[in-house]
Amino acid sequence: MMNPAWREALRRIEDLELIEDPVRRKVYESDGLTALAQIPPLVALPSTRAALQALLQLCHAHNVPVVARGAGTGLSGGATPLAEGLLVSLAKFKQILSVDQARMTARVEPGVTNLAISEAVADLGLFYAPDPSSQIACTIGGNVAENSGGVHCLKYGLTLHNVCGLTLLLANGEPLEIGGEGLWEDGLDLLSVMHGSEGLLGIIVEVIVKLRPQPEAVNVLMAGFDSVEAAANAVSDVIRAGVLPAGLEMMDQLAIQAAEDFVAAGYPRDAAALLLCELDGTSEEVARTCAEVTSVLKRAGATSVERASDAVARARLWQGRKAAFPAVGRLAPDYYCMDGTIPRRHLAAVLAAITEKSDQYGLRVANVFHAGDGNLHPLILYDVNDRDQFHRAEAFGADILNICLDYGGTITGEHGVGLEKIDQMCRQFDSVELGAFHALKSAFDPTGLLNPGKAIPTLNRCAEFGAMHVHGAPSKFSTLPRF
Amino acid sequence: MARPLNSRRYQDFDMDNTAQLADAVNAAIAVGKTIVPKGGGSKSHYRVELAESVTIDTSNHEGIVHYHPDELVVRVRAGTKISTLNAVLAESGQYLPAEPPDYDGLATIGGAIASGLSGSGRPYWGGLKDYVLGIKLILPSGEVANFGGDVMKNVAGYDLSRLQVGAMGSLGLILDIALKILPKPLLVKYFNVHCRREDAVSMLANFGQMPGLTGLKYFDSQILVRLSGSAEAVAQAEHLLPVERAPANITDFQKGAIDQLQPSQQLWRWDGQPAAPLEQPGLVAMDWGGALRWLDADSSQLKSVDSSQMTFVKTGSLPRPHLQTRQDGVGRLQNRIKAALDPEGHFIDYPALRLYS
Repeated sequence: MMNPAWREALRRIEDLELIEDPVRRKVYESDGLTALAQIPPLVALPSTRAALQALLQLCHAHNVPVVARGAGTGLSGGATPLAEGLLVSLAKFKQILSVDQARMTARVEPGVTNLAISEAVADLGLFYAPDPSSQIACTIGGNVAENSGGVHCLKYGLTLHNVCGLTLLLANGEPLEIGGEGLWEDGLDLLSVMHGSEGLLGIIVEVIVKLRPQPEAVNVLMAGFDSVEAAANAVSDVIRAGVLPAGLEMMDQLAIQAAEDFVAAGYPRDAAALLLCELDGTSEEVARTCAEVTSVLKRAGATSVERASDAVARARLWQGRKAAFPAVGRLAPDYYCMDGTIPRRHLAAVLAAITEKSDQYGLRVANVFHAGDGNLHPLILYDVNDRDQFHRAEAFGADILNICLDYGGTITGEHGVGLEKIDQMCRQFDSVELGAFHALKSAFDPTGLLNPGKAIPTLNRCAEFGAMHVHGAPSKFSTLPRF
Repeated sequence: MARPLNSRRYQDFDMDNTAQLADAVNAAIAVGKTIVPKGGGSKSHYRVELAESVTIDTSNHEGIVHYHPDELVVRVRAGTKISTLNAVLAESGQYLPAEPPDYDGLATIGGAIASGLSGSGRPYWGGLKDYVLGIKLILPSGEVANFGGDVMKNVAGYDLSRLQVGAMGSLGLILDIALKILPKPLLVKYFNVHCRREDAVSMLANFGQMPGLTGLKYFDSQILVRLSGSAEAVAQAEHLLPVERAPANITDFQKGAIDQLQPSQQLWRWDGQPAAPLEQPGLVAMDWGGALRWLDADSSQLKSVDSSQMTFVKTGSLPRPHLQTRQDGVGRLQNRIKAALDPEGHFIDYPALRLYS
């Protein structure tokens, strides 16, 4: 309970800034999912581990729920505050504690931004590989909590592939060190479980990241196609040729045109689909693979292929892709970004189904796609002030996630479940699987104080939502075409 | 579209025994016997005989559930031999970079997942858990559950699939596993460099993390080196090797691996910093650039070594030592997880593998 005794005790904790002023609290009312806002009753910013530990012990003693927050760039409402609970910002933990050049690791605090890590080790010829689009602002603690991806996942993996150790505090304040020195640990693998746990299992206070040598050369190829299907097949052809690109991205016509209007990256405006393929390695290797991939793309029907070999040209080609969300955002007052992942062989069918729904709901949709790993980002265009459009956008989004599930995919590839997709969890998982998630949570946080109500729905909620997934039931394939 | 594979090859070992395995698990639960999952039996030395237990053999639950080379994903039944999986992947020029040891064809992929063993590429390509995308298993309640999926990126729900990697079968019976796979490197070359044992750690450290290096071991007065990648990358790396290098082959490189070592006393693994001094007794081999060391020693000789770095593997002539499970905060949390996911204790416990004092 957030009673006066608790509040008074909180004020006595050293190295803890409290924000009680309602105007300043409003800053924390949402994460990147701004449609869900809740001004937190109280915001705490600890600047030492001891302060955070004391805070957690106090909340535990008084049964006060805690929501941890990094930079608030998350897109699924994972850091949305609770009406009755404490919001804890980790923004003051922003030190890079050490860099071990020989072992290629860095120890960092959770509030360090993703990009700051790569910048700090650039002079050593190293970099930190996962690069979510928000990398200039998002923090490494949030990256671990969401298991963030980015455009280089196909070759370099997700956050979990690039972190070798964590220090966390459990809900009762108990510190634990997981992983770290060795490459093998006795007992169950808690490092994997912490990744993508959305702040429900523990609060991360230190991260040991793996660094990689910067590649000697990086080139980007851009290819236009006159159909989405041809572009999708070209992606398969590149993989089949035995090439593992550092990045492989696709955009559809609406996304291409929006990006071109916004940043004039030199994209082919008339193309139905565009592929960006980044190749890295030694100079000779990149020269050879670029030639190989160029001929693969041409054979696959590319209407144009452009190669960027220097940093300026490369940045220009990437700029359109990296600015795709804000570019699409100019086409309508609001957009709703989805995040399903599908087996790539179903891409053309899934995009066709999305187009059909777009007509049905009367809302336009632009598609940006991590083509190498099957992660779709359909952007639904709508106007939030038009309540009918808002509700149609929500229903359209839910339909897209169901389509992804019907084709053997998942409701979220990298943005997390948070509050946004909690009802779709009932469709992806059955009561047995959800029961296992709740059991795991109870082992970490028996009183359920960390980020309650997010990520994993209660069985009651799923029963009310009426969409509990039943294995093998025909309703699972309700959106597949029938002949 | 997926490249068509020789379909006869699939059918040769396509056996779905999910129903029989579920029956066996539920029968054991009904009579209150502890369930011990077993694959090919190659790592049975980790086990201690349990009274009132029933071993459930998964080795006849085999085959490829689906394989899409263009998507770099394969889903394989737990009883499939690692050697079979490797052969299927090789037909499409692909491989599982985690390289779990195959114990002369005996080991299954389910057993590899349960024991969490990764090959020499571990520091460069990641470990077995890094290639797991999804796992379907029979939970300790006897019900079937599916965690993760068949796609590269998936953050829906807690990662209970990767939690199975190295869980030693304590959280359920693994049915099938979706794995990320990769195109084979275009070129692989092996070299041996003579090295005195006392110089081995510093010599391994000198190689550092040079590009193209994908394996670095020590065995029998030789540094064993693997380079892989494009022809250009391998050539560039080869120039950085000591001039006294001798060309070698894959058989030379595989020496001193866990499935090749037969201890005279007890076989232990040491995990730590690659540059840590060579103070451990009975060193027989090193892998992972020195971060993994195999010791043939008697447990009484190991008192000076940090017990949190030593894991028991198997015994030779000596009796099995007295071992303990982890007792620290992480160990207590691991125990709580086991208790939460298997509240009635239907599956075996995680084995005691260390000399904690």
